[in-house]
Amino acid sequence: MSPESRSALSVQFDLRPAKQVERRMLLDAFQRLAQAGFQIRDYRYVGFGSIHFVDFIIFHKLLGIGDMLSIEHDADLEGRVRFNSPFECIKIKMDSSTNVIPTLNRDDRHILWLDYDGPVSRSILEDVYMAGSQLSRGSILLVTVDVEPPSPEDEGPRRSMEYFEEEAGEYVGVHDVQDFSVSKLHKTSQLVIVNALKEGMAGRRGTHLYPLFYFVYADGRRMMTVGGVIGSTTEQRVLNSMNVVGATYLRRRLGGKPYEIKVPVFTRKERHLLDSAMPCKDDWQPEGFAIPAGDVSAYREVYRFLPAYAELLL
Amino acid sequence: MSTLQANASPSKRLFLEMFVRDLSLEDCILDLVDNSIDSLVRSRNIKVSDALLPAEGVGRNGGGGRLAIIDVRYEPGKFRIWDNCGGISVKDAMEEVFRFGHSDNAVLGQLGVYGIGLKRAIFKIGKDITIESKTSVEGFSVHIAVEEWAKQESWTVPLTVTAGTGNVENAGTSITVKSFREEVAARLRSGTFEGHLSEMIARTYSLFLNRYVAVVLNGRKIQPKLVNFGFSKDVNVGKEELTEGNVKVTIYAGLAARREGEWQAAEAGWYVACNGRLVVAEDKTELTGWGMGMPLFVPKYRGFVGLVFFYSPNPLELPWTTTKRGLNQESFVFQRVKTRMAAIGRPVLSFLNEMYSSEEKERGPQRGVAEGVEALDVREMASRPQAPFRISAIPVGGDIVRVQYDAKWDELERVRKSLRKSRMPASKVGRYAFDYYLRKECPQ
Repeated sequence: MSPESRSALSVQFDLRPAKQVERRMLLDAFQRLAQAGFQIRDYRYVGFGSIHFVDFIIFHKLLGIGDMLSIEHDADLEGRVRFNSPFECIKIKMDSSTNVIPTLNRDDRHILWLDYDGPVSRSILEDVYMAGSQLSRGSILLVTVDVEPPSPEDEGPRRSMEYFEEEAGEYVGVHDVQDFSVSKLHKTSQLVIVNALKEGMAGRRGTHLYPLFYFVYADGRRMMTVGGVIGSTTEQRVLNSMNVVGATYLRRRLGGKPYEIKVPVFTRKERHLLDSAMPCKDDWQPEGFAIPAGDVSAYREVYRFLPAYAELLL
Repeated sequence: MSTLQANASPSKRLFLEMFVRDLSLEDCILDLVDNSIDSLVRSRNIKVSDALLPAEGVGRNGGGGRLAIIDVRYEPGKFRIWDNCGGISVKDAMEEVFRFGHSDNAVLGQLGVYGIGLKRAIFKIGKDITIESKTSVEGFSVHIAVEEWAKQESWTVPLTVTAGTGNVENAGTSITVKSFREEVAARLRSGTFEGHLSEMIARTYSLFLNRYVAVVLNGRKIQPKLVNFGFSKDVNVGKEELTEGNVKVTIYAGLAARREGEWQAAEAGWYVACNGRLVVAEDKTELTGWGMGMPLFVPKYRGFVGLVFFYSPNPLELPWTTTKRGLNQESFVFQRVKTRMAAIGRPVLSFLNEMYSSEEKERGPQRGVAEGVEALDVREMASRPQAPFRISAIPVGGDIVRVQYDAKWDELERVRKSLRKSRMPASKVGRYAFDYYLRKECPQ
């Protein structure tokens, strides 16, 4: 069974600001890809919509994607999932991602977001492997996993190493215990996911992963997203022509540092003030009170993508 | 500074003593059968790609003739393989047959790839070798006394040209080996060797046997042993076709047919055929993706069966190894196909996961599907369209309850005896007893 969005029931899904920033950054990137020549509007979006469908709403309304598939493995949720599906164009498939991925059309272009709640596991890596074999050139794959220590932290990195050796097997490659310290787990998780993807792409001549995304963020638990375009030199050429000005969140190479989504805490009044000064210079400070410089620059990075929440009495 | 020329020439000992260690005696004999089938393919213009198609006019060589015969026979001190598969031309004998490896302009057969099999086989078996072959127009005979030949510098063997048979039907080849190697003599004497060889031939050539050729082992005709998929109105067999360069690939995955209500764990796994010849059978290892792309094989997957059929007019492009008992993991086409095998096999494994999800016992609805399947000849699947494995209807399990009880062995045996069905599974005996009571005591 795939550990798909169980968190939908415990977290008010649309109120996770860092996650929402991630979605908006993905949207921004897809718009840039569309501008460069990828026919994003004609892509099929496949994700785990659960009962909130936040990503589906954004990608349908703002990208115009009209062919969408939401995978839901929890049979108990079927009624609620169908009730909450916001658009007619969203198909619901009650099955595990592991079963659905091999049935995706190998000629159609997809955006496939495997947005898991749990840490890297054998079944997740099987999904990723299968996606590497299944997705057509030009498709976009995103994989999100939890990168907290897979067992309680006080058991230390050795326990995490055992977990990864068990769950990820040969995808871990040469390693030692330091690779499994809390601060490295996002990197190790990214590595095994990319290795599973490469294994799934084996034998596809001239087809590569062109990385685009490597996010780390935490609304509660620490999460990591890795993703990119599966394609050939044709897609690479289009990617190279993409306008990347201001897209500081993109990660076009593997092995570097992730883009850390930080959401500083400000009041509504403070945000109005900050917004009026955005984009600001490096040493900008409001008049009358001081804000840590790091928070100002963090805000400058995300203000375009940051949701504003307010109570709505209905 | 001076340049010297180091000696890099091969030695006869390498071929006589080393290469022969690379595979078993059974595999060597299969190599000889490959050569016979290749002669047949050449002389009768058989399309190997058709071996997977439903057999119309089976065994008529596509033209109303009788099956070709390959006759393998051994007794203490003498091994012989004889065929009427068309024979070897003098030109091929002069230029290819005795050469180690093919010449650059050799016309390759469909099963013989590396130009090593025949030599390795005869040298493995014994030290006194006679080969006689006749096509319809010419013939030749060769005698090799291996120990003397090994002492000679020359790599040639003397060949006597003889007359042809005048017709294709009688044209063929006979290879006789005497003066066995000691270890070979011991294996041929063993009580299980013949059964094992017969089993391997039945599987390896299952797509050729009784269609193009009959293989006779020590006077007994071997029946093909095909991979049997299970099929019913509720369950199909997953199928995908792809082409990589000149290589055409068809992948099938589904539920195995059941025997006496059970799946046979030994027969589960992947089967791989290259140009119709099985090279891997019942594989449950990483070779075919278990534990890498697919989960590790565990007993609950004993209902899984998959078959991959590679076909190419150029056998060098196929992913087999020189022993034809394995797959070349570096082959581009196999790397690609391996990932597709995982994809096609996945829904079958998911079904089996569901079937055995809560306990080791089979869940009712899934068992209903599994018991409803009938064996389907793999050739019958060739004409079906590509489709993923699908269970169209899981019967509703709500009105079904599982009835279980313990019984003493001797009492079970008594019931079996009364039924005259000594091998009926215990579960079926229980079911029979229940049905009997229903019918006799509470008819509707």
